This record gives sequence, C-alpha cells and structure tokens, in this order.
Amino acid sequence: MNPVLPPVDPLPLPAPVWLIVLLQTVTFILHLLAMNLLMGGGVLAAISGARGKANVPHHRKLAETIGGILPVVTAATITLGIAPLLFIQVLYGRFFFTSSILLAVPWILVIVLLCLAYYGHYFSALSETVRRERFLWVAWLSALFVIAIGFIYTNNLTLMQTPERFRELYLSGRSGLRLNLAEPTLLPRFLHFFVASLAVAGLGTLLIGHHARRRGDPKFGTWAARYGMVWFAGATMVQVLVGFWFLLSQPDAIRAAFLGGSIVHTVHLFGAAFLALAAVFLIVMKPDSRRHFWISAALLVVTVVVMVLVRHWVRRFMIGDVDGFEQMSVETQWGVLPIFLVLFVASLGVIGWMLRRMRIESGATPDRID
Amino acid sequence: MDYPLWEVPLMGGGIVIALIAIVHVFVSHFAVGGGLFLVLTERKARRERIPELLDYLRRHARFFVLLTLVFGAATGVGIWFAIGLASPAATSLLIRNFVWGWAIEWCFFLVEIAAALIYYYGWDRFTPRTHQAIGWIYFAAAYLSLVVINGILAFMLTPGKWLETGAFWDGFFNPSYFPSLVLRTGVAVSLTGLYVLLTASMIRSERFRGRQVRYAAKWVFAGFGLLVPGGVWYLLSIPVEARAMAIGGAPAVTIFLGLSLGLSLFILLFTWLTAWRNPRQFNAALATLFLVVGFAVTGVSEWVREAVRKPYVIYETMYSNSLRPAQIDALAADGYLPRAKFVALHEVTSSNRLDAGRELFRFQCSPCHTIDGYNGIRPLIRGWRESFIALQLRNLDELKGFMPPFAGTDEERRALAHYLASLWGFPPEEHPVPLQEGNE
Repeated sequence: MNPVLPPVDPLPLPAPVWLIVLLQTVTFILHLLAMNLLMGGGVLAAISGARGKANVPHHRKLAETIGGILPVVTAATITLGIAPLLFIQVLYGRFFFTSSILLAVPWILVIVLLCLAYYGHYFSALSETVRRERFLWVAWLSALFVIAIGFIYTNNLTLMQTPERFRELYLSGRSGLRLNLAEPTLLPRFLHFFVASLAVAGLGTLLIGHHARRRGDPKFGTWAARYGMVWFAGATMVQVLVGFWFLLSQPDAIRAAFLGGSIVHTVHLFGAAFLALAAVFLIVMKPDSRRHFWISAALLVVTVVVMVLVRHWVRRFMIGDVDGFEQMSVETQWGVLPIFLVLFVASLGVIGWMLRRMRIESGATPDRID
Repeated sequence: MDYPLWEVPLMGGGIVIALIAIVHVFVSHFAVGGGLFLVLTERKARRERIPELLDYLRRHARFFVLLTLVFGAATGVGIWFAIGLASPAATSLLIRNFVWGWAIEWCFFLVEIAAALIYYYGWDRFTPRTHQAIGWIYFAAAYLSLVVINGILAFMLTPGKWLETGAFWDGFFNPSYFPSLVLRTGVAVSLTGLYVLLTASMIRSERFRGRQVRYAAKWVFAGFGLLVPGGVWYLLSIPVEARAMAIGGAPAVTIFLGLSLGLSLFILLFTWLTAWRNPRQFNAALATLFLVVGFAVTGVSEWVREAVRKPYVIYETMYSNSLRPAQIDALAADGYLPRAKFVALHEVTSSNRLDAGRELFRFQCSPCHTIDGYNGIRPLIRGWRESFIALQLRNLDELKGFMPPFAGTDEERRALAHYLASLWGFPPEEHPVPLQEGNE
C-alpha cells in the first residue's frame, strides 16, 4: 500500500508515542462512557416520554429523571471528548485532517447538531411535565441529532483508516459533501456503538432504580431496576449479533487475526465479549442487588477498556505501516508535560471535592442570607 | 500543498472560521468575566443582605449557564473543527507545538464546566460559603483557560523567540502575550457589563432595576479602563508590518480598526449617557442595541486581528495558503504541481494550461480568494491582460505586502495567469507587457 498522504509534520512529537497513546486511550474511555449515556439515555428518555404521555406513571417519572440528567451528561460528553480528539490529532493528524476535509460538510454540521441537541435536552430538563410532553418531539429530535453526530464520527474515523482512498475521493468532489457510505465496516461499527449505548443507558436506568428505592420510592425503584435490566440485557444480546457482523465485515487479515490467527488479539476480543455477558448474567440473576450492580458496572468498564484496546489494534493493522511513527522525532517538552499531569490529577481532585461537598451539604438548609 | 483543499463556494474556509470564531469570542469572554460578576455580586448580596439581588442572580445564572456552557463550549469546539478543515497544516503545527498547552487548558475547562454546573444546580443545596467558593473556583478556572489559550492565539501573530528556539515557553510567552491578556481581560469585563445590562434591564422593580443598571455600567467602564491601555500596548507589540497595515497601510483594515474604535466609543458614551445617568429609564431595547453593537465591535476587531497577520497564518513561519517561506525557492525551481499531493494533475502541458492554472488557483489562492464571493478574484482583476497578470504574479509579495509570493515555475505562473485571464474571456493584448526573463 502506498497511499497519497500528507507528509509527517516536521515538528517533533512533544512526548513519546506510548504516552500520547496512553492518554488518548484513557481519555477516550471516559468520553465513551459519557457518550453512551448520552446517546442511549436520549433514546430511553424519549421512549419513556411517549409512554408517560400515554399515562404510564413510572415511565413519566423515568423520562423526567433521565431528562433531568441529560444536560449534564451532554456537558461531560463534550468536555471529555476534547482530549482524545486532541491526542488523535497529534499522532494521526495527517490522516484525521484529510478525512475530515473529505467529509467537511457533515463534519462541521456536527457543531450545529450538537448545539441543537444540547439546547433540546435543556429544554426538556427545564420544562414542567405538561410542556415536556407537549413538545416530546424535542426529546426525539435531540436523541436523533446525537445519534447523527455518532454516525458522522463513525464515517470520519473509518475513512481516516483507509488513506488509499483519499486522493481519488477528493478528486471526485472537493466540497466535502459526502459520507463514507462505501465503507463495509461503517454500518456494523456504528450499530456496535449505538447498541452499546442502549446497554449502558439501561445500566444507568438500573442505577436510577436503586437510588429511588433508597430514597423511599420502592415501587418506582424496583420497576426502574427491572426496566433498565431489560434494556441492558436485551441490547447486549443484540450486541452479540452486531459484534459478529462487525468482525466479519473487517478486512480478511484483521478478521483472521481476531479469529484465532493471533492468540493475544483473539483472547482479548472474546474475553471482553465474555465479560459483558457475565455482567448481564449477574444483573439478571439479581436485579435488586446493589452489589451485583457495581460488579457488573465494573465488568462493563473493563469490557470497554479492552474493546478500546482492540480498536487501537485494528487501527494499527489498518494504517500501522504508513503511520510514520518511526519517522517522527521525539522531543519531550519536559518543561510543560509535568504541569499538565499535575493539573490533570488536581482538576479531578477539585471536581471530586465539589461533588463531595454537594453530597454532604445537600441536606443543609436551603439558600439563606447570612 | 500537502492536504486537500476544502472548497466553500462564495465564502471560502476562512469565513467559516470567522463566523464561528466571532460568536465564540463574544460568548467565551462573557464566560470569563461573567464568572467574576457572579461571585462578586453574590458576595455583595449576602453581605448587604439583599434578597432581591440574590433572586436576580439566580435567574441571571440560568441565562449564563445556557449561553456559555452550551453555546460557548460548542462554538469553541467548532473553531477547532473549522481550522482543521480550512488550515490543516497550521493546525497540525499548533497542535504539535502546543499540545500540552491545550491539554492544560482542557484541565481548566473540565473544572470550569463542572464548577458552573455545580454552582448552578447547587443554589439550594450548599451553604452560602461553599457556594461562593465554588463560584470562585469557576471564575479561576475560566480565567486560567483564557490565560492559556491567549498564549497560543498571540503566538500566531508574534511567535517571537520561538522562531529561533522552537521552544514551547518562548512561543507561549511571546511579545504580544501580556498586552493581549490585558486586552482580553478588558473585553471580558466590558462584555460582561453589556450582558448584565440586558438581564438587569428586565428587573420589574424600578428602584432595584436602576441600582443594577448602574452597577452593570460600572463593569462597562472598568472593562474600558483595561481595554484602552491594553489596546495601545497590543498595537505597539505586534510586528511593524502588521501595525502599518492597521494604521493606514491597508485602507480596509484601517477602516475596520476605525469602526472598532468608533463603535466602542459609542458604547462607552451611551452607557454613560443612559445607563449611568438615567438608570431607571434604561430598558431591554437599549441593552439589546448595546449588545448588538458590542457584537459588531467583536466582529470587526477579530477581523482586524486576522487581517494584520497576512500574508501569514503563523507569522514568518507559514503563509495563509499553508506554504512555508523556506519552501518557495525549491518550488520555484522544481514546480508546485509535481509536489502537491491532492492536485488533479502534476505538470503543465500545452494542452492542459487552463486546468493546471485552475488547480494552482485552488491550492495557492483560494485559501483567501473566492471567484465571485468573498474577496472574489474576478472583480479584483477586471480587464487585466494575461501578460499583465503573469507579471503581477511574478512580484506578488512585493507588489502587495499582504500576499505571499507565487510558488512555482514560470510555466506554472503563466498557467495561473492564463486561467485568471480566462475569467474575463482573455482581455485583448493590445500592449502586451514585455515578459522576457531576467528584466527585473
């Protein structure tokens, strides 16, 4: 393969490749979990909104609860998405910028869709039940826009892995008005993320149920836990099929590697799938157990971590021989890098402190002048 | 040359960046200054025991969150998307060089967003002391994110010692870093005054409204107190060529700078005449007018800041069309088309001159020029003969200081001239410009 590609940026890398990959992976995992909650939560909120409008009280309450959380989840998704996007541009800039330009119009549309979805979620969160249900289409549209953003991302991140198509695609139209629909992995890959989002949102709903039970609403709590379980288990079952489709759609060499050709890769992929199924099993066995919930949530996080590794390997398989890493000189910016690492830990600490104060003081007397 | 070029009809990629950037600047500076407003005003309300001020603040906080958290954050990411599309090589350079700067800014951004949400959702949950502490955390994080991004933005016009050392801190604390920081702080404070005028003007109680309107006016004045010295210091810190363009060298730039100053003066004067002198008569219509004028000031000022950087996107390092000054000689000798990655053809032949010229136009000119839209080339070369265009292209950077030199062989230059002349159907060569080589 000898694709037409922009040359490696002449400036040295400001840190070793492994560190940038590590930071990209860690921050991407955080983004992914928030994104799953946003995408799946949006769908669940809209569905429950519709059922609530038809006077099913539990659904009405669930729609309100999820809807109230979604603006915060949106903020988290965007904020946590910045860092992995930054690091991917450091390492894979010449792939990523090129594929973005090829899809420029949908890519820039992401910003518009994001604004609309964000305001839509705020509208639902800040509305009383009557207004929220009267304008239920806002919740549907917001969910749809988030899904559309995910789809555009899948288009860009698959296209960046096929540089051999760049030049021909560009010369066939330079205004960036296209998607990567010819990509065989596109649909299964997108569905893989979408179905995972429904599963994670199902798990989130389970947690809402547990909270409600502790706060003295056992009827709704037990219902929500069961309802979340159905989504979590159901979506994960569907994921087995989607996952296989995704695997089969891969280029021959990659598929072979993950189907026994390489023991390490195969073990990771199927191990992760097994962990997800184990998480489902634990929940279905005892949906009301908080212990089971936290164990399966932990299993799910491990699954996501391994899947992100798998994704990283797939990318290496696709463009590892042209990524130019060995041509990149490294001049680690020791005068700045430690500041970032310290601040990163410190910022998590500050956020943790604020959340802790919120928890502790939530029972305190409301707003008073003193 | 290395990346494909995104074609945006009638606008060009630069205008896409500008449209997003101007609204972002307008909102993000409020996100910083507005944080200071929230904490100082909450302290005042609690110390002086003014419950109505606290009620007002709570409504203002909702407006603040909906505007800055959503629109501010999304447009901030939007600028980043847009510069990657319109100037990928420059974006890559900035990211390679400043990734840890951005990563540090991201840490502050994380805290900023979290603190804003906790502050907003926590009105009834926190003790006043903790609530104010969280407000201060918000403001500190927001201001620090400005402190960081300011270094990268100022770098593009004044890379300073970085040009020799390539060192992070030399690029970051560059010659216009501090003037720009003072200027941006002033923008943040005065814009906050304008936004607060709007929310204050909607207060029902006339007495309380009058008080808040006057309080907001003080913010406008305080902001101007920083804007004026910051602006002068900034103008003194930028490269001589850039300053010359702003103060007469390039009429359009000077007019825009004049507009920026004139409209700012309008805001200052009328804030004094209306909000300060007759605060109780102040209303939402006036406040909206001030905000619109403030937005116009933001727009023209950003335009000036971008314009004076020409012909560079990163001063003395990369031209607006992504070429580096050091590349020009080699391209003149070996040709642009053979080296460009995403062009449709790699050499000029007698049969493809028009297509070759169009391709050269796309990659070297269209980063700034469209055909008939913004900065359209067709009206700019009305009636020019092909030989005259070719001559102009040969000395482009000398004839027009704000343009980069043409990069390519003589054959390519003539092909570009051929294409440009075709836009007016090849004006007749009654008096062809002598074009023998070596007659400079």
